[in-house]
Amino acid sequence: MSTAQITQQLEDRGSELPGPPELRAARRSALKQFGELGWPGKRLDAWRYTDLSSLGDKDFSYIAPVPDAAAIEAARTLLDKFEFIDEASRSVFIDGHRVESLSVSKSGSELEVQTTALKFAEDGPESALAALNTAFAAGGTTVRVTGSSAALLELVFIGTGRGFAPQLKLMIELAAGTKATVIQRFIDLPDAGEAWLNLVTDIEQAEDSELSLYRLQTHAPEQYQTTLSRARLAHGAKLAAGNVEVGGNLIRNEFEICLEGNEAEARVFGIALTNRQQHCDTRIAVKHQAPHTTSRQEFRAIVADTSRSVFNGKVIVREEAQNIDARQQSDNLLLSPTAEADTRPELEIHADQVVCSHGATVGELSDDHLFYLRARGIDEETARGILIAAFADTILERIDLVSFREQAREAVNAKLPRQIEPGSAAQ
Amino acid sequence: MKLLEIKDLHASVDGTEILKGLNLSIGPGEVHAIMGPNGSGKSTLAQVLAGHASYEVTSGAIRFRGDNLLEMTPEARACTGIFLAFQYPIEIPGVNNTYLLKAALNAQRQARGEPEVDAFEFMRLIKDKMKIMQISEEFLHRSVNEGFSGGEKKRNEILQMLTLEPMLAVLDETDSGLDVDALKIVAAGVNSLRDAQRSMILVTHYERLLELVVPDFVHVLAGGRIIKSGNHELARELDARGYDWIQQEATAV
Amino acid sequence: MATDQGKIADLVKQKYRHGFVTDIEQETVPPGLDESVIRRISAKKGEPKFLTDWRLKAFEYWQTMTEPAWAKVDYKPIDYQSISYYAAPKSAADAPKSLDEVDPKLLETYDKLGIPLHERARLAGVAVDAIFDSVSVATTFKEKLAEAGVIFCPFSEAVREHPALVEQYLGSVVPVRDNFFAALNSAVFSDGSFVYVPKGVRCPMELSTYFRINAANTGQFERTLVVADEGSYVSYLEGCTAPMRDENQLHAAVVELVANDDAEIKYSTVQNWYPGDENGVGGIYNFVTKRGDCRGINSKISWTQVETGSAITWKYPSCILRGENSVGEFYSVALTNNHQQADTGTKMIHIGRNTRSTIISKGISAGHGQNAYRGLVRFMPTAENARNYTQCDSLLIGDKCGAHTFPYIESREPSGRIEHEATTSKISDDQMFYCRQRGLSEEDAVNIIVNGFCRTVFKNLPMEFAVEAQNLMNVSLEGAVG
Repeated sequence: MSTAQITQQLEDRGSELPGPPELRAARRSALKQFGELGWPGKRLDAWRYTDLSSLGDKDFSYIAPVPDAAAIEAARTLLDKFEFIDEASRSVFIDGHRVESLSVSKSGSELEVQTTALKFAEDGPESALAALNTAFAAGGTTVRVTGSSAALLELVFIGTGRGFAPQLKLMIELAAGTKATVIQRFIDLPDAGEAWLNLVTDIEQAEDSELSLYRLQTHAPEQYQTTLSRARLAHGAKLAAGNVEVGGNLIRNEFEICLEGNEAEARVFGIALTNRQQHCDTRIAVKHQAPHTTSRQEFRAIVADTSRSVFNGKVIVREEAQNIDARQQSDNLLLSPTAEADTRPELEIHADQVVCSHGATVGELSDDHLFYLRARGIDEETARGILIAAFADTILERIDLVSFREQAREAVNAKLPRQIEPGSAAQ
Repeated sequence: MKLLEIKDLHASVDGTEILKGLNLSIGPGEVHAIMGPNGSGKSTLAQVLAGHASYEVTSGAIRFRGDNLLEMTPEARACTGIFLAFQYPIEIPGVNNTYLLKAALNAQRQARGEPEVDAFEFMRLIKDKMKIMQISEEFLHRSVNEGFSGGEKKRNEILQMLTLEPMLAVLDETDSGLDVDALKIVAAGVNSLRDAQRSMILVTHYERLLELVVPDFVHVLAGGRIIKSGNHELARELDARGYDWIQQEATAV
Repeated sequence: MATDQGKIADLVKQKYRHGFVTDIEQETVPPGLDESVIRRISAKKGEPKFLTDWRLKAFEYWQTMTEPAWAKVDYKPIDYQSISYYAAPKSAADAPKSLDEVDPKLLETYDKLGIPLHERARLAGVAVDAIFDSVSVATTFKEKLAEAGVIFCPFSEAVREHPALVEQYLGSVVPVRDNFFAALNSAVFSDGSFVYVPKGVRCPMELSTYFRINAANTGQFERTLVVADEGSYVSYLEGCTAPMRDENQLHAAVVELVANDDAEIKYSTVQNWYPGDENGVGGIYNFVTKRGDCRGINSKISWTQVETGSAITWKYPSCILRGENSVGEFYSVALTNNHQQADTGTKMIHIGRNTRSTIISKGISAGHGQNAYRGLVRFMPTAENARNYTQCDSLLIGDKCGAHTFPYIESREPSGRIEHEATTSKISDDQMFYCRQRGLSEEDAVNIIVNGFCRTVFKNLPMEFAVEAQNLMNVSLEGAVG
């Protein structure tokens, strides 16, 4: 679908999108910007390993219709199989539309979830995907946390897989001193065909707020997903973001985290399991803009068949940001001769009172570890399975919320045997 | 003239005052032990004497050999004869142990207007000292403190002290973490340097070093001040009874 | 450019003839670059047709290319038409007649660097008659090399005396199309070195010693080719610690290394090109393409570099690990002070089985310097059991400089192992205090610690240069502390 055709979609059906007429002009100029920037691909260093131009060939509908009764029923059946967290409020979205009947509100004074007016960044979107997102943003969901007890929220994004490409905006705002855990799940209806979800999340954390933002992605095999999460942390704010990537066809997650106030801390961790021809790309940029800030990036990938995992982690330290502590670690396990792992941990340092380090490894399971297990009587295949699960588990352990951690572990373990099927295992 | 005169010293670190009016006077050829409970300020005193930038002297005076020590940089203090044996000697990767010591010796000689020594002269000079400290030659090829055990680090500090021959040696908890044998070697090294001109400050929590290096004076540092002074007997009493009785005595006064 | 080895050898035989300098061609080609300039350069050098054609093809290709813009360096655009691509050697009339006429500050620097006395005159550009002695020393070396069968001569001489060898290997490691500066170099390269070590020969001396005594002045577009045939060994050192000025601002050299079965090439570089004044004005831009091809099984290529000069450095000495069991190494110290910028690193491409690469990079930033490490480690699917170990450390001196690390790790081989570690910090206060408490001044303490930081790299330099390199670090850091 050409940019001209996409523009036509906006013209023809833009009135279906929420928001006052003034917003139309902003949408149009955003789409124009997207046209100028074009689909991101190899000529941009940031997209060196992930070419999105194939998305341009698809005929997606960028404005998804409100889900019909059948879809809601199918979603309900799907949700019944899940174990949600009792104390958590829950918002369920189908193709980007919030479905009241499937959502659950718990004692909610601490937590406001509203699908309301859109908030566009003042200085306009910078990347092509952010621009496209602005153009077709179907609804802004704002999660506002106030109040003294910790808030718990689950956001479930269900795709019908009928060729839609919903563009979603999510705002998470934590007032000073508040705590919240937000879990995002990405799933699809059975028999879902191709679809694409492009989600832009803006996070504002006031002083001393604490946010745990987890993501469990178990998309159907033909799904595309791109996310951009932009966070600003004030003095003393803490962010822990954990990604568990299991499904989908092509997944790209980008984080831009600005540590704007002293003592702010960001920990981003993730595990990606890819097989067949999956492609999973994670990009994290943490900007230390104030002194005494801390960041940790820890990412692992288990790559099988002809799949590919990409990691690009940046730590940027400004001159004023003295006494900071930043670490990155990227570890990759390749399970087949045709799997590929690309990793680029980067440091850009302009201050001198810093402790910055990073490490990256790519390889296979340690012979010593394998031997140890086999010497204890465990057969090779089981031993491999145990070690690979342990490799993933190091990351899963970082998830604070035990109930969710268990679910993530289950999702990972469900995929693991397919990682190490004969023929895809390393010799 | 006294070698070292500390008058009403107040010093803080990170805004917290540790030394709260410390007075101490040390004459030539004297060995003083500074003892006290943890957190009393013993190591702070040692670091302040050596001129560590993290410690801020808020008031008081320190005169060494008649000069105002507080106005001098760490290296100037070293060249005028102060040596600090660190409690936690730091590693400097890639810098040869011998090389650093030779560079230090020559820097100090140059400051005193003495001729520098070359590599051969230097090796001759430290041969005996290495024997005393039971340090083998391969030790000299290693990088400063890299991969050294606790005992080796402390023996290395004393080797440096023997080579640099300071007028005032400050030993900061040199005995901590040492087994009986290492302690004996360290004590032998320290004692070999005792003479009528050279003075020493032994900062220690325990008495056992003082049995081997017998001090002329023992001071108890508590609450940032010296609250009691005596001789070796005081050290023995502390060992037997702990620190509480002294602190009670002090507050009763 | 400078006098040929051949000419010097003749000189020695004929005894010194006063005024011989005026025999050297004085003609200069005016600035600008087009096909005719290239033909003239090639004609002046008396090159065989294959080379003229090669240059022309390169030029044709260069015109279609665009200058790369992705490195983390900032510089004013270069006007390629304002450069003169063929310059005559300097006239002896302008040169100092003896060391007494040389700027005393320059001599002071030579002293600090520990440069041997007989070198200083040559480096300061004193007229040939004053360095007559070193010319005779050169003859002995040349005889030794001839005995061993080692060919070591200026590139232009190799083109005339060994055209078959040159044609066989030229451009086989860095093809003309490789990058913008390589294409430019291929079109207009001035001179450089050619080394060929025959089968089974261990080059009898480090080509550093010989090179220093008789090196032609390095031109702005230097081209070097080193070929180590089966079972041979050569250690080659280029550059020197003395600060080198050049009115030509752009340096775009190409170095190609080829190692056949069981051969080893050790290539060391010490670079102290003029870095510009305290404001970064007028320094040299050093854009170099260096690559080694480990063609044979069990072959080994090792790059060691100490870079302290140039206003801008852009270079990635690389190894293509083709042959089974081949080994690639990269040891580097790069220092940026004042307003220098460096974007340097390496590429290790593993193609063959059991190949190994080691990367040790030490970056030091001071003043307003910006220092970036950019490295690529790629394991192709055929690189069974490949291994890479990378350690990049950056040291920041002062709070106005920057240190950046940009590794690219790309693996498509499951049995391969890559381990990468990087740290960035300033010199620890505790280390500084320890040294100062022992009596060392702040400046001496920094020098000692920085040298310790670089030690793993210095250990790989030919011995005589290790000492000079250490002195070079000290001299380059002057003014960075306090």
